[in-house]
Amino acid sequence: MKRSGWGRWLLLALVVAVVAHVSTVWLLPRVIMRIATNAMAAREGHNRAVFPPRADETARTIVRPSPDLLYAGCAFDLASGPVRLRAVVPKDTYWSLSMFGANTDNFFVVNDRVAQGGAVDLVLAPPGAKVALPAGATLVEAPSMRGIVLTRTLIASAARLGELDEARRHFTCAPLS
Amino acid sequence: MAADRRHGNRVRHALAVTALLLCALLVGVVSALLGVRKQFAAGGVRSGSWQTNANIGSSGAGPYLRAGVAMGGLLALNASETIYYTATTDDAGEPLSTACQYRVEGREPATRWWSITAYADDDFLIRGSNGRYSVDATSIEKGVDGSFVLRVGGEPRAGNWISTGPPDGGQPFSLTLRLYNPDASVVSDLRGVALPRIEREHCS
Repeated sequence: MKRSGWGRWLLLALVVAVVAHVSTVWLLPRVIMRIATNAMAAREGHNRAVFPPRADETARTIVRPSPDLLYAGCAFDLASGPVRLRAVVPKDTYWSLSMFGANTDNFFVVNDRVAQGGAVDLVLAPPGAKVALPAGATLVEAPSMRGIVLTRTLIASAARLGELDEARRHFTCAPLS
Repeated sequence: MAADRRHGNRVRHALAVTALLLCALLVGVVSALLGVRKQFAAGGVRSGSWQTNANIGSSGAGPYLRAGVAMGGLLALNASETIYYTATTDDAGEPLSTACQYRVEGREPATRWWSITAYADDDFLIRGSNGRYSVDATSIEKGVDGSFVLRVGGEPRAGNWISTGPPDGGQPFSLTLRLYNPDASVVSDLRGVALPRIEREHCS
């Protein structure tokens, strides 16, 4: 084989390496998020609330879970229309509801300091969608059709565990019909 | 004969090119994985042994940080809500090891609520820790000035203690300090925050 022929193949190999590198970096968060979304949806389906047990060393779905928080989650899929999210905000402890898009970005968060009236009522919809908002609900535009909603409740003390667990179970995630 | 030789050369050439391109593919994928592997712990800002990045969870994250967060801290909140500092070494720069005992000394950070949690190298809670995974602002024993001393290691200790489980031949682990609803002074100066010192006491 002529040297010039090998030079051409080496150049192609370099291009392959660069494309593989860039593609991997771009795809990783999307693939990992899809796996996490599917794992959450495997419990109850899309657009349904899930209430995982308090994290311990057996929790192996989402990396770096906090053992000091109670989580509630929902794998959303807006293909069939907007999704309504409602939650009760517990008193005197940290609480937040956050939303993550298909590329993992945290595109929305509300916490107990911001939420008014001890509850939140949100409607999640694709950008530009025409939505008949229920009275008192707030519209949130999602940057992707699928993703994850997560609530975090700080276990302020061991004595409050039962009360806070009950409060987090008021979280609902369902198609807006 | 000559035709056979030419055919043999073509086959060898095709095999060599295929091997070259497969190697290139492998190099591209592996270099990407290595490049993003510790982005959640590494990144933009260092304070002592602790590192963080103001763009964790945000749409301003670059592709490497976004991929690194997906691998090591999926569903992390953005900095306006929570700041995550992670340490993988002690203050002398030695990697944290489950074969060693550590003294972590500091003062309560300026934030609404905080916690320190130990994670195994696979980014999950350490097996064999018997529930002693973390300490937080509400559970930690501290002085009236907000100062505290925390022990981290496999040997049971009185008072503030995070277990790293059995030594298991000295496995790497990390500590994550979470600051929920941090004060504005913290958000505006991530490098200047006084964070706990991590000193190695001894190793088995």
